Amino acid sequence: MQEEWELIEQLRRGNKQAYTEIVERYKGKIYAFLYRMIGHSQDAQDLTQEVFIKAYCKIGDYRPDFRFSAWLFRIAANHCLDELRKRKRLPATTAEESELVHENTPERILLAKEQHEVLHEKLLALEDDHRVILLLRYVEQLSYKEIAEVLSIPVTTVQMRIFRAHKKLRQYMIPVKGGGPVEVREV
Amino acid sequence: MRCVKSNQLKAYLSDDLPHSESLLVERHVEECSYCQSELEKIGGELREIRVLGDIPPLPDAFTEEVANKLAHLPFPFQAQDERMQVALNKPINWKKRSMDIMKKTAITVAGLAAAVTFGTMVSPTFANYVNSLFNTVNQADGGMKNAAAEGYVQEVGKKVTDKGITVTVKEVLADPTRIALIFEMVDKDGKKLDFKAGEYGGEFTLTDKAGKDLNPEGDGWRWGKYGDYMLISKNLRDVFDSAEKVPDELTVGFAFNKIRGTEGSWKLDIPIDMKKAKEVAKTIEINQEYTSPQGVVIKLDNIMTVPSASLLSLETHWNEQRNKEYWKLIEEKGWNDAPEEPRKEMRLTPGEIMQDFLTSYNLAYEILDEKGKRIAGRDDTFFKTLNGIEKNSVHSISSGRGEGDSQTMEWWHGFTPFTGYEKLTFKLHSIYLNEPASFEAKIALDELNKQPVTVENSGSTFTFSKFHLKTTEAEEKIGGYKSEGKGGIIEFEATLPKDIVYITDWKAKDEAGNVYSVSMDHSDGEYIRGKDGRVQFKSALFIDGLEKQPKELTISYGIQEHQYRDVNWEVPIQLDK
Repeated sequence: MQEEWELIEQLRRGNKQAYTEIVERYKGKIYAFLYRMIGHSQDAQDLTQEVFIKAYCKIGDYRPDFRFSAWLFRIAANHCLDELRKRKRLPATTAEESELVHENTPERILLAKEQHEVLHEKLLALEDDHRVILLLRYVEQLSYKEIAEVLSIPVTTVQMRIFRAHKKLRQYMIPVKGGGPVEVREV
Repeated sequence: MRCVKSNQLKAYLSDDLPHSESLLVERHVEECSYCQSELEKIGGELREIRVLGDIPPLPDAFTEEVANKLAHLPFPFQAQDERMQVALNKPINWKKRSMDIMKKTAITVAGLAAAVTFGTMVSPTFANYVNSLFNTVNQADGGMKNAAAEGYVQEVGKKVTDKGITVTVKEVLADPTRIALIFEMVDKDGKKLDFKAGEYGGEFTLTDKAGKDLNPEGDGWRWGKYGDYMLISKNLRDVFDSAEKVPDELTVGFAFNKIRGTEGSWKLDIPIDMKKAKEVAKTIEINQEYTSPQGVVIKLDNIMTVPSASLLSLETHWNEQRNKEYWKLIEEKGWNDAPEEPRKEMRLTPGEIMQDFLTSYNLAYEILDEKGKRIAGRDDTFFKTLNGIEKNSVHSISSGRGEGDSQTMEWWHGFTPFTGYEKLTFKLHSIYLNEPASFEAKIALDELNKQPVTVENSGSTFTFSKFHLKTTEAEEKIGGYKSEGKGGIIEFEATLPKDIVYITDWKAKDEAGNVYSVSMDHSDGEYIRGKDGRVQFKSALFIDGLEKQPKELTISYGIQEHQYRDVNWEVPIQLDK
């Protein structure tokens, strides 16, 4: 598989197809992130499209010392936060999510092990700033340093916000112990 | 050494600080090693979080859709080179750029070709163009005719064919207030395809010479039937707030992907020279302000006259007193009910709906000549015939936008150009404000079918005459009124309270307490004034989703539009010295 910088180099040389390869590669990740941010699939789809268009226009600014996915998430996070601010609208939980009732199947318990689990719709109850940081950390697995770069804030602020968001989420969490009985604290 | 602010860090982490203080703590920790080590200690205990919930799939065509959009964008690296040149204040070598584009296009992979045109630029000339479609088609507004007569319209004749359908750009009209293009569409047998709403898909772009997207949201393009043709237009005032800001060259790019239901690809770029129309644009600065007795502040900014229109720019807002009273009312009525938690549904709360109604307001004004004769008028109430002052107004280039908490609005209203006048007067006619209303009528439907029922309430007089039940989903005309879907229809005649010109926010409740949404028919709504000046009209209510006839219905409306005539403001406008 070609590295992103190689694809970008091809694009620079005029091969637009190279960019569609980038879209193919990242569309799922960016869409999933935006969907978790905004809670509505059509809106997330539109935003994803806009993010790829924005990224295309700005691709000349990309520098390889930044991981490409982190660079893309930077555009996605900023675009999404701007959009949420612009709309002054809280993320909506639609029928799509309300139907997601989770049962504690053995598979899930096994998977969860030492983690805390949280339902997507509960995550939507958090403030935008908190949600974005938790998604970047735990879903996208970005490092603190990368999150700092994505959101243009110091690493210490990333740590602080993650901790605070964690705390806020706690009331919604389902603690799961490896293989043991599942205790649902509050859902 | 222990940091004195570490307690604040604890408060921060427990989310006990206000937002502004939180930001200060964040800034402090960035520089304090003690707090940083405290943070490490606490932060290390965090456990992983797994987010549950499925992600709905993306459509298969997603990448293709993105690729289609990219085809209209300037090549990114090139745009960057140009940006840098602009930044360095160096002139851009356009010839070189075209060469670059050609080179690059040559190696572009098929299917993703960049939309680049080397065609001649459309440039309005002063030649009289009486045969222009902007002059001859009935639907043309006065401004279009004027622009055509003055030669600000150009024949284009560019064509593109796909799937047997040929799209021809017939003519373009362009000046700093608008761009309008007339399209002709013919099938493979040369038969003209009439415009039918909803059977087209596509996108329009507006770019400058450097390929910069001037309308990134892609909105504001109006599509419509225009005689046998299709007219696509865009109001430019929402992109450029003065004539000087309009670039000398604009490019309209269009890409239809569906025409009369046939999918395909019809793309063209139309570069347009704006220079001449910009040169003749005249802006008269006015900057006069007035506060109405109701606390509505109106500022008349300027009038710009270009070949196709005179465009009046206004700003309005509510003064502090009015805003205060408004918020007092909202609090009193419990309408400040926006949810703190995320919404389960994308629906406004009842209070938010009321807030939306109560913060919308409108104006009516006249433009008079030296003898006091009305040469133009604008009236934003629903039924303009009530005042009869609307004249020479061009709605396709009129718009407005709002911002902020004091109901600030910016408006620009288009009219047929005010040419040939030296002095005009702007005269405010009315201000329309929405206010809460509490009309209620309880109607026994069996009675109603025997004889009309008259109800007087809250200053209104309503005579309900007939009830019909519509049991089909399809559109149907019942009792002279067209409606769609299942529901009940009640015909009525009404006389509104003094100075009330419109009512809305209808609801119906049956005897079991079920509430239905209700809409009032506007199609034939003939609003007239009685001898006492009160508004009278005849219409019907459609009670949505009513499946069987209830015993009784309580009909109510919650909002009335109040027309205030106690406004006294005239502004002289010197057009040409």
